Amino acid sequence: MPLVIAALVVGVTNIKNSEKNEIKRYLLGLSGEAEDERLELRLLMDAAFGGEFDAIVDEITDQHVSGEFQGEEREQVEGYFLKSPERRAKAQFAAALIDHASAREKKTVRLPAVASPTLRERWRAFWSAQNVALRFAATAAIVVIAVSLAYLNFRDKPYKSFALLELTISNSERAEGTQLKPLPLTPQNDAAKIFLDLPDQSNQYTSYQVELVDRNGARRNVEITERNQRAVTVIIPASALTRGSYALHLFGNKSDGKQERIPGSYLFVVQ
Amino acid sequence: MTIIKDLFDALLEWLDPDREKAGERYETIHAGLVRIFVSKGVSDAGHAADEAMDRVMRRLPELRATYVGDPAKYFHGVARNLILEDRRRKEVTTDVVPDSLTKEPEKSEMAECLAKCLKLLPPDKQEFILDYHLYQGHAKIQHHREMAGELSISEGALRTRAHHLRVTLEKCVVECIERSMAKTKVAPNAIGNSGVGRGGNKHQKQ
Repeated sequence: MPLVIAALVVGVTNIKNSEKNEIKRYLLGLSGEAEDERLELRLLMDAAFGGEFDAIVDEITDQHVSGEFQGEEREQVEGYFLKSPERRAKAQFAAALIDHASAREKKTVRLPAVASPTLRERWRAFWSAQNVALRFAATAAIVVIAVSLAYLNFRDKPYKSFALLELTISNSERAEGTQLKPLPLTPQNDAAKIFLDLPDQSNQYTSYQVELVDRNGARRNVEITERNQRAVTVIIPASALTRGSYALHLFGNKSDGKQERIPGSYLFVVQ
Repeated sequence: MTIIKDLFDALLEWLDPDREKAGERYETIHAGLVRIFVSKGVSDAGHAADEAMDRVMRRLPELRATYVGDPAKYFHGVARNLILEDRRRKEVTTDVVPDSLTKEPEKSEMAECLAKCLKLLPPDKQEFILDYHLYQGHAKIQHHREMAGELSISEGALRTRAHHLRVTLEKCVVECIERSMAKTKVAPNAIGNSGVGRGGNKHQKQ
């Protein structure tokens, strides 16, 4: 088998969110035939786009190697994205690079040159100096914090299997008369993980809030689990989704504390 | 030999009357074909891209007279056929692939080659590429933001810089493993940059 290596290093342009998501869908085998054809033609005509494509391949590879994909996403990456020997070898390279980077980071933590009281010794000295009531109150507070953290940790990661969906904002405020994207929710899914592509002008916000609106107009806030410059990811428990159409409304928080609704909606349907 | 050279010249001429631009278009199409074949799981993407080029070259005399449209679209059609052929071949084949063709490099070999190749980079670039690959998820995004801030460049420019450096490093590691495997007389497994390959590209730009 001849070696396939990089022959061409081309400039990576900063493409739009929608294009980046299109590349991701293609790489994970989630795009349709027409979308495939459009993207493949661009790969044959636009060298810079090829560079961007490679950068996204790197990103997906790194995320896989770092264990960032779970459940169906992971299956999709392993069953489709890593089908070719080239990609599997690339994953080996990424794993080695990430391991090397982490190992170097650990090595840079150095011991102090001069012997001084350890943190434990300092803590013991401080603790012994306090009165009994204060020690009791501090112990109780630590227990409460530990239990709360354990609860939060448990609450944040109860889901194992997700129905995945990626949505772009639609100008329509209501689901009626609009082509809705179906959420592929199965009885095995604990929750829906929905990627909301951010509109291009939304980089003015420091944080976001997302609201789920059902067909009866009932509203509830949904949890944002990830965000970057291009998209926010929300998780909605499967128990909160019955058959019908839904809209997600996005709110942006500005640095001055003001919140504003980003016009349009992310529309989907549970069938 | 002359016939092949003539056909290749004709192919370049078909791609663009300007020889230099034609060469660039050829490179773009070949790299694009490799990316497509790797993405579709075609066995030996570099070879498949060469095969696509050969098929178009052989049909060129009639193509030039009859085909109307961007040559890239014609290459795309040929690529689609090759993908289907590869799928059919995989469905019917019962051949066992020899171990020597599927053997992947040992983890330690990869780590050793990576360490060697990192040392070939200037210290600031070593530092940069290793820093870039620290952390996961949100922490990684935040870290990249900080790195971009420290370097006074955009996050996009940071990503571009990291990608180019990674391509160079990956190429060096591939060559190192290839040399190491040649020493032990084991055929290397393909390893590459997301399918951008020169692989068995036998038509060199002239």
